[in-house]
Amino acid sequence: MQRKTTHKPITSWIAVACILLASPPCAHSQASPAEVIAKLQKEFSPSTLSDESQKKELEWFREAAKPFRGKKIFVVSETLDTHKYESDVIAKAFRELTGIQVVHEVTGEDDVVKKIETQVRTGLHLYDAYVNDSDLIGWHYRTRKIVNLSDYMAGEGKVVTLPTLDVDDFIGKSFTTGPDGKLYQLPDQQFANLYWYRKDWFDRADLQKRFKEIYGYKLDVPVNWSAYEDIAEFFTVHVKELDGKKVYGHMDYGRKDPSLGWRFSDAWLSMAGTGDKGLPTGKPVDDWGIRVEGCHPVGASVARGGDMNGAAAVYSVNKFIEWLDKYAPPEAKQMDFGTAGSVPAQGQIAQQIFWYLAFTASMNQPGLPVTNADGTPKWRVAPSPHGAYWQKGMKLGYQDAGSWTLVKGTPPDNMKAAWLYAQFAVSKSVSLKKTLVGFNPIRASDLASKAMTDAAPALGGLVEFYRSSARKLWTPTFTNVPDYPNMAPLWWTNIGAAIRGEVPVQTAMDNMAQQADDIMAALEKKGMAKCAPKLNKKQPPSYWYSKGSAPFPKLNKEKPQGETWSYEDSLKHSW
Amino acid sequence: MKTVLSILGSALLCVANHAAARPYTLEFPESQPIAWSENGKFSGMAIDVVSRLFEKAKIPYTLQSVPLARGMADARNREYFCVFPVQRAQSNEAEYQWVSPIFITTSGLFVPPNSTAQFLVLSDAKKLRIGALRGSGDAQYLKSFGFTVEEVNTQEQNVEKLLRSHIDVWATDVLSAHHFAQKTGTRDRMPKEALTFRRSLGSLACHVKTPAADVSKLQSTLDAMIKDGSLEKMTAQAR
Repeated sequence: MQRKTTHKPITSWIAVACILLASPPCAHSQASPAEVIAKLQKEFSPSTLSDESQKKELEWFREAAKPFRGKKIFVVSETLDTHKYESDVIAKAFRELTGIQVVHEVTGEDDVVKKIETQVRTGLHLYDAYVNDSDLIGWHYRTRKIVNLSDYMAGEGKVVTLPTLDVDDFIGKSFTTGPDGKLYQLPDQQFANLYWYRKDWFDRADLQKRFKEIYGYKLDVPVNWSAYEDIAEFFTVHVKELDGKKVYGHMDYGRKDPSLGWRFSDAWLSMAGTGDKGLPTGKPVDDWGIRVEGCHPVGASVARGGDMNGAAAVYSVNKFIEWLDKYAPPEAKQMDFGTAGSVPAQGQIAQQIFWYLAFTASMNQPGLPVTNADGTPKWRVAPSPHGAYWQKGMKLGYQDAGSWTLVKGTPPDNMKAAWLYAQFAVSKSVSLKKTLVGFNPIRASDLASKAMTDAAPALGGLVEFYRSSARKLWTPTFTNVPDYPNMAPLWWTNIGAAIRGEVPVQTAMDNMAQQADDIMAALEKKGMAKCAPKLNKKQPPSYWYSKGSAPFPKLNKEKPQGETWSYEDSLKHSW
Repeated sequence: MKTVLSILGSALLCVANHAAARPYTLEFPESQPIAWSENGKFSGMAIDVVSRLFEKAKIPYTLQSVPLARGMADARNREYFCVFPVQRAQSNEAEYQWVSPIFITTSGLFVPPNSTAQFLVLSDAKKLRIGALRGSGDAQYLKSFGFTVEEVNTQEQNVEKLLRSHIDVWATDVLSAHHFAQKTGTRDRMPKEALTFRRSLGSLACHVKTPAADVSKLQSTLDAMIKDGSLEKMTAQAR
């Protein structure tokens, strides 16, 4: 049962369209319904549906949308190829099919978070739907300001819920399901971060020989951070140039802005070994270093049983800074998520430990230095290497699903129209084509399709990763984080200061853990609808070390022997 | 009824009950109908909101009209300086402390009154010449997606360019469009909205070292103004 939340209409106080409106474009009325559907079937091809089933599904959307014809709705998502395709093509197709105008805005991910936080905090109706990362599920579940989709689909939204939606087909369904078993968000696009490397360079006999001479083991896919570091040094310091071009053994980004935060909050600490074993997140301590008892966060600092400023966390940030300083292109320090993402495509980077699959589309274009003449990639993605503190049974990396999210208080008809658009964007009629444009797969049926098999050779391991059960080792920020919008800035502000040398890494992490505890203390005082934090009393580190779970003390040796394995073995044994 | 603030010289000092506290300098670019100065008076929806906000929070302030670029630079470089209204975005998030939203804008594409152009989505304008206010959030947003944007210093210039077909489309927030379209005088010269393309959080951007207590007080005061409906009332009156 959803609680009723009253949202304030903003039409009376924001600047609404007061201008003499142009006649609304009526492209949908210029062609017959059959012609529009035929046109859409051509655009959304291939599909896992038969022609007849796709036609039926499109007809269902047309019929279900009739009460909302002429309505204008606002939705917002981050700037990814998938969302650009939605904004440019899918929104237009939806309008032609249904007569509903969708203003599908694409903007920075941090903007999306700020906007949904503003709508939830103030009650202002800003957007009718958000494509919001499933990372926020802990906040959504606790605030109860987000529409519980399971109940919506069975109740108020039943009439506008696609009979062929097939929720169980979504591979990220578990990311968007709360501890109560209810679905809070519907996945729209999904991507992981993996290890990226130039297989053609790694396979060169001359480089193989030279690496072995220097490091004593084979140049191949790194199993641990020691090997990653050796390979980074090898290319930047020893190889230096290939084919007349300067090359680097590492790529990353260090500009102090919100996207720097994701570089860490997206499971970097757990790849080093912060937290505990457990999937989708460590228990009792998760990949942010937040300890949870029952469903209640009880502390982020080591003093309260968390691991945000523990030895593994400090090690992870030290390694990040060391590699950025020593092995990445100098300009990387000033780059952010957007500008750094496509740099490896320019042909001077040998490997990148933390590479978002969201950039796949920019990496397999014909004519790029990283693409062969036949269109196949010179690069591969492989399982991410892990740090010295990592233990088998822990998550191995980050994966998230940007997901349709409805905020309570949205006018009911707007919500219904937005829900129709959301389902259209992920429907089986549309999703396979969308996946082949943006490479952010969301449906098991798409992954199993022949079209994906055909595309696999050009995608450097993406399809193999998603078809394997190992994808379960890559998980999002989960329900442990009680207030993602207000806690996320802690990452880039504190670690950004350490990267710029303003404070030592340990101090930065101590400050961050303290601030996280302060936010959770405030939430505890204020209360949350569900599972509010209940902070532990402070204890000396030795108290927590004796518990047999995170936090763990500092290792004597943080650089064990480097270890590599073949690409094929990495697929076989890790995935 | 609009709040009109009398000033001495170019600035108003509101000491409220905190005469000893250091006043903030709140800078804004001239942008009718949102914020402007005329004959020694400050007017506009954003002026009303920000003035009321600081008064309710009992934080002293002065107002100052400056070009946007200077306001942004001052708030970035000088403690106790803020600038408004700024479209809060990921790209400038780290450079300021924020109090948001002081109002929300919706931006659209506007075409000449006799235009038959139709836009279903923003990318339909990809090959067109778009006019926008120099340095505006809309100009930056469209340029980031590869649109051809011609920037000018005043909205009057955009209207004139649009009506003379020197640009195909005018991109701006609908409040400004309404204001300047009405100023054109006649209905047959009034630009019309062809497409809405985004919403922005108009915000107050302050120096990064602004005391956390002041930011917190301003934000909670603003939240209270939104919750009790006074912000809505004020902005409705200002239009």
